[in-house]
Amino acid sequence: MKTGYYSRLAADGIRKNRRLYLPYLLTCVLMVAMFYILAYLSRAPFMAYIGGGNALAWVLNLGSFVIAVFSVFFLFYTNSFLIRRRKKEFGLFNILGMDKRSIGRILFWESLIAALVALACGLGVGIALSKMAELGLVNLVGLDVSFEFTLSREAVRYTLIIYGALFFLIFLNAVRQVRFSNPVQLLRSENFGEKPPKANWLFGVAGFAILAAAYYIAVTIENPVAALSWFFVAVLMVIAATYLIFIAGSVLLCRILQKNKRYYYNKKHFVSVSSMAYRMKRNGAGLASICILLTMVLVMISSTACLYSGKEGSLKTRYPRDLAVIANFSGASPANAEKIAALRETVNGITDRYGAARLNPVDYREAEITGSLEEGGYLEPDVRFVNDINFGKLVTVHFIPLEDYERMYGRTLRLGEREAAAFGLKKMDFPESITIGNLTINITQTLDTLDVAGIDTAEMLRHLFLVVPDFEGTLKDIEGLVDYNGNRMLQYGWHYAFDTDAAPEEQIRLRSEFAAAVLAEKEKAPEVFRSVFCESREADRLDFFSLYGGLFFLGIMLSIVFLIAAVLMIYYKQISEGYEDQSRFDIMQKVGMTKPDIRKSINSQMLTVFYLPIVFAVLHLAFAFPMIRKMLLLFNLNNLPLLILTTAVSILAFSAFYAVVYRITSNAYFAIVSDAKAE
Amino acid sequence: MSLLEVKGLKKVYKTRFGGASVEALRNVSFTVEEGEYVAIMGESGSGKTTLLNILAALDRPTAGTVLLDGKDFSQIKESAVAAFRRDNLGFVFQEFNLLDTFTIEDNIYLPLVLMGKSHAEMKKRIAPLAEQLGIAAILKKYPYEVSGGQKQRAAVARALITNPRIVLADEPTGALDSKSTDELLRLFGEINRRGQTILMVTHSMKAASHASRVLFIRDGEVFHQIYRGESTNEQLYQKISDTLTLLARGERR
Repeated sequence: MKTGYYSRLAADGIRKNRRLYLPYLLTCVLMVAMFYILAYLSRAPFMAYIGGGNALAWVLNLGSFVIAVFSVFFLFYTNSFLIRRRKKEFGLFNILGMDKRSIGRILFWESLIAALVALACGLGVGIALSKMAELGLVNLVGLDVSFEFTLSREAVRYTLIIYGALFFLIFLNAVRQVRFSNPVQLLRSENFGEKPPKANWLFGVAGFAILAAAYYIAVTIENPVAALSWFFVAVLMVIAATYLIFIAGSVLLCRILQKNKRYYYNKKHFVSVSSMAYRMKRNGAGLASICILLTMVLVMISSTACLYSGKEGSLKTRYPRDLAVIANFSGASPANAEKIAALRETVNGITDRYGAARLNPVDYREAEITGSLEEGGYLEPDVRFVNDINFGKLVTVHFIPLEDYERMYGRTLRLGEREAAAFGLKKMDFPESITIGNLTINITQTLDTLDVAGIDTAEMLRHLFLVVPDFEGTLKDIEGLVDYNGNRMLQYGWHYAFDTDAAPEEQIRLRSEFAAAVLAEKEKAPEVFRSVFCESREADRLDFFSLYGGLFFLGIMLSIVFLIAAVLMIYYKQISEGYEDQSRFDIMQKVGMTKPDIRKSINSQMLTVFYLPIVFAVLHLAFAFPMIRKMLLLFNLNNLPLLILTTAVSILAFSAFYAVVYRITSNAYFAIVSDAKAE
Repeated sequence: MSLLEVKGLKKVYKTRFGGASVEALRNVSFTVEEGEYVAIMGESGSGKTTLLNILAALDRPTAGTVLLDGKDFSQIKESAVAAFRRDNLGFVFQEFNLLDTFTIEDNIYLPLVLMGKSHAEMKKRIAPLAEQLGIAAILKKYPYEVSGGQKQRAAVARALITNPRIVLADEPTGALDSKSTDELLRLFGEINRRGQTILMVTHSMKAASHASRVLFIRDGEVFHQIYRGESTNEQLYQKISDTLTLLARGERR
């Protein structure tokens, strides 16, 4: 009987506050559903069949983890809105004689109902949508598999455990808030006599300074991998600066504007500027969070969309030819040439047997050495001696014989002794000369193109290709270099690649035959080879696409979650502001402000509050752009126009979406405000 | 010509679904001359607030006319009403109605800013007012930092700074303690002596006893009026009291 009473009060409370509760419940449902979908997909049975399934599953699992962490913060945040509104009601209960224990009981029932609804609906929606998400993912990844509808018990269990615990924590937090306040506070927690916002010069100025510094770092970082720690510092600085600017900087700005009498005492600015200071004081943190969410979404969606739509290009960069055979030798042995001939003959024999043509062949020997490129072109091969390894300085120098180059391209290069023609894949400034040990090579010309092995494009290090005459003679001087383990530093290799007219399945079969044949060749003379391997673009296409498609899919899923979160924050803001502005609206009208004036003023404030986050997000994105571009280079994506396009499209799409949300929420706002007029 | 002429004012409120209608004002007529200090008294529900809302152009009458300087309120376009109100009327409310986002000074400036006056002009106007109302020291403070009496004096300053044709006061002493009430009424008298026309709605006999004329409203009609004549505040107070007793008896009958 008694239990029934409390649960009924709780249900009533939810029903009466549905304008606030409904969005909260919807968010919970969404979070639970999203978490389940990602958790389910990462364990879905089809993962086992597809190439690159492991990487994909890992990416999706990471995504579900991100959503779980985000849920903690976000649900706590939205719940605090609810509690603040409810405190008044609880205060009344308390004054009417209900002790805090009983209020706790009501809270318990409320939380229980909310949690049950959220879990049940969330799982329901998640399970219902998981098939659709699966299809979407499969489509993006480019698979053609049909699957049965499945339900992952494990994913359900995880979802229940994680979100059950989360809802319990939220309940405890609510109880804590009610427990530590007296009834009068509870009653009045809504309308405290609010102090005017004070401009905090230190924080405000610090915000702008930190942001400038972070932007500077972001723009000047040469190699994001090399400066990974700096990169994270920059990201953290941007986050901190965003909060400082939105909380303190904005109030500071309003105060400065108020100091300017001519500007301030103008019909257009008077009300807006002074109300803005209040609005920003209350909303600074929320707006900063929205801004950061939007930035994340923009970065995520523009880069993953770029990756995804540029995947064919990336694949071509990574695999410049349909088929490739790469051999690495133990040293500079005369047997190498013999083995190269044997391998070439084997591979050609197999292609001929398949009746496939060899087009655009690439066929060259090379020797490579990696070291730290110091001032004056001095290459220190034994990086152990370099105090702290600066990854930005690491360079792999590849030597390619002049005769191989001339054979491949059918043109001659004029190169004297100890002279080289240089080529670099990623943008780099060539030194005038390179010194390795006691070998100095002058770079006398540069090459615009060179068909280098795809594998060299995948690495994060810089690569410098030097075409040199007298291959063996030149390298003799540095052949003896060993690293601190005594391993030979200079590595000889052979690279053979070509396109073919064979069908994709044929190509994959060709690759398998190559692999078996070259392995057999290696077995015949194990002392000559270090390694031999074969690559096929078609064989790796699925791996490639499943990773990129998975990233894009995750980008979309997380964007949806973050966006909805941002929308919800905006909604709560507008609603609570609406209640607060009711009386102000009234007074201004009595003092002689016309309705259109008030509407205009409030509109301009809301526009500012609304668009400030997205303006800052775009600004952040603009400064992060060079960094994103460099990151994408690591994924073999070097397509600036495409990146600009996807970024621009993302920004436009978001602004449009944002405008729609603005319309909807501002209508809700005006409905609340003019409600006051009616009564 | 009188400053304010109210003729045959009638206001009927309809409940939302067109059910029973309520007659808030039946037939109200009176005039206010330039420089007068008129108090309108009546019990709750007598139609005082409705009358004031109509005089303030916040509401429109069902029938009848309101003329200010011979200008008919009903002729003013909806879009021009706010500007008309701002330029001709000054308001003092029971709940002060100061905006908490402004300092006292900016609250007082608000109507001037809306009129597009220059900052220099505003400063020139506020100085004597602040002096007279005794709020010069608190101009830079925020409403939450000052007392109720100070807030109300700031509100009076806001009403007066536009040099309005008439000040409309709605229960101005309603939220004040007795000391602040006395102070405010003294100020109203002083302002009136300098030529400012005041129309005050109140049910406080004390407040009404400072006026030069008191109108009594009952059941939507002007029931009676008393001129101060040569009487002192105390004598006027006594007259008001007698009238109210009469009114109460009449009601019982």
